[in-house]
Amino acid sequence: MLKLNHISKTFNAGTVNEKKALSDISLHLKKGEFVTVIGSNGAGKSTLLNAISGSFGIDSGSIELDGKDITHTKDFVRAASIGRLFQNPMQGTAPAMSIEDNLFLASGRSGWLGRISERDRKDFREMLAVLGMGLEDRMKSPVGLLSGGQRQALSLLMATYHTPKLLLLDEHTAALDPAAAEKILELTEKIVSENRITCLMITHDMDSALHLGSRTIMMNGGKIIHDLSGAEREKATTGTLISLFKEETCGAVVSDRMLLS
Amino acid sequence: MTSLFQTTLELGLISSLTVLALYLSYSMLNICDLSTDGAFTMGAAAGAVMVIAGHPFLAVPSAMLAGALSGLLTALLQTKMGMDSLLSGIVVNTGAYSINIAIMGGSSLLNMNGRTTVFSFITDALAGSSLEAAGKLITAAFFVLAVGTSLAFFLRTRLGLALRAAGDNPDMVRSSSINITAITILGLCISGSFTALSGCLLACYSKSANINIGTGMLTVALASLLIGRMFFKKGGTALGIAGAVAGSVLFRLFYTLALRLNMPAYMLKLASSVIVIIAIAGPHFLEKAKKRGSRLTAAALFKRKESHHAEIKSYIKNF
Repeated sequence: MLKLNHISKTFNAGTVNEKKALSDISLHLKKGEFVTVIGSNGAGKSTLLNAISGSFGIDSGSIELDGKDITHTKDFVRAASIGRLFQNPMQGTAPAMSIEDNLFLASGRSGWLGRISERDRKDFREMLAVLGMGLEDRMKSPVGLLSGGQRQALSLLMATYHTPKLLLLDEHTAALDPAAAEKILELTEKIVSENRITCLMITHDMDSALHLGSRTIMMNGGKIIHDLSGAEREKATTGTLISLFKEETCGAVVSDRMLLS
Repeated sequence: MTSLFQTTLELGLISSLTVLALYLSYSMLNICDLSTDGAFTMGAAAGAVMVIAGHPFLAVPSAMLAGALSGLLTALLQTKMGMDSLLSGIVVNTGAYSINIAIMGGSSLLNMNGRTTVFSFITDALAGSSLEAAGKLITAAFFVLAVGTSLAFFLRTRLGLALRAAGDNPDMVRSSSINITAITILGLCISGSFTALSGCLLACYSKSANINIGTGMLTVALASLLIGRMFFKKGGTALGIAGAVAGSVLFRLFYTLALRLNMPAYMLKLASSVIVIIAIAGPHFLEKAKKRGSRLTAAALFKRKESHHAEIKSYIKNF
């Protein structure tokens, strides 16, 4: 489904602030594969997701999605088939607009000049009811009044409204309280598996990195340093991940966030 | 007194179209479009030229087209040419001065005395009926109603929602499949056309267009918008639009009252500036006062900050 062929990206090339953010990364994701991404801060995880979604052009290499070369496709065009969720729950929704307005915008229904119909409202109610957060009775309230968890759940619904070919999750539970984070992860798993969405999820929580999905990749210094799947991943524990990481980085300091799991 | 009130209402309605333009660009799209003054004059100039050429009805779409082009340029400068949004407005505004004089055929004043305008056409059509005296008011109200309802309708469409989202959370729109550049361009074109329509109507109303007709319009309209917002704080876009129109009429009313109390006419611009300052700074100070309401003195705040710093320091040390 997703094919990254030798992609590289250097920021501020030729200056003292030169940063090689991605270096010769190749990654193939099969349809319906759920891959978790771990790595310390600055490893290039978010940069990888931004490169895939087209926030910036890459220096070399190519990106293929569902057999189509999207290396030079504009970000908003890619967004039609790529759903995204960010760490900041405020980023995925418009706060001054109501829940139904936000959903309608994401639904892309009835063309640009279409307006919300009763049928849309009914569908939205059903979708919101699945979240189990009581949002279906607050469809007219501005999204800004919702909690972080509720907003992230709504963002998730919006990002997957039309089953995307690829879902990019950038630590989308990191800013939530533990209960809300668990709920969102649960919903993510449910939606992703029900619709067989190909998914890349960055996480700092090593437990969920190993328990969610079917494959885990570890990044460091803009490279993929480990790619665990199958039996090898099944056996792996948080401890295995940390020792793998230390081995590769010659015992570099493992950040506190990597250990918090 | 009735006629004075009626004039106030007419002028308030005419300038409310500029307020609606700002409602779209400033409140919805979150862009402070400083080309408003230029676009207003451009509408007046284009409209006047058409009226003098004998096309009182073509004057309206030509003025709107001129305003849309001005909005298009402002939008292109800030979306495609890397210019700051405030600066692009200023640059367009400055350039518009020359363009406007060129539109008016090199003169800085056009007189429409004795020419048919939309206002005189309606008034003539109503001649003899009991509504004759209200001809101008009806014309102005018609335009405001038409623009207001179509704007209200537009903002409920998906395109309108995308525009509101672009102002509300640009990050979200940037990561969605909506082209934020196209949305910004569209929004500024529409708002430019409203501003120009407003200028065209004011020129037709007063039967003359001069190069300074739009000077200070941005502040006047902003003041009206903020007054309107005070009365319609909450509620949807329909109420917001009604509030913008009401704010414009109220502003004119205050102004007329002030004139009756012997305020010299040249104080209009100062009054509008002061209203904008009060409307923006007022809530700012109220917010501050509210924070102080939690009985935290400056000293306590400082202490709290200190302890916070200590906490961070100890965290870093342990790390």
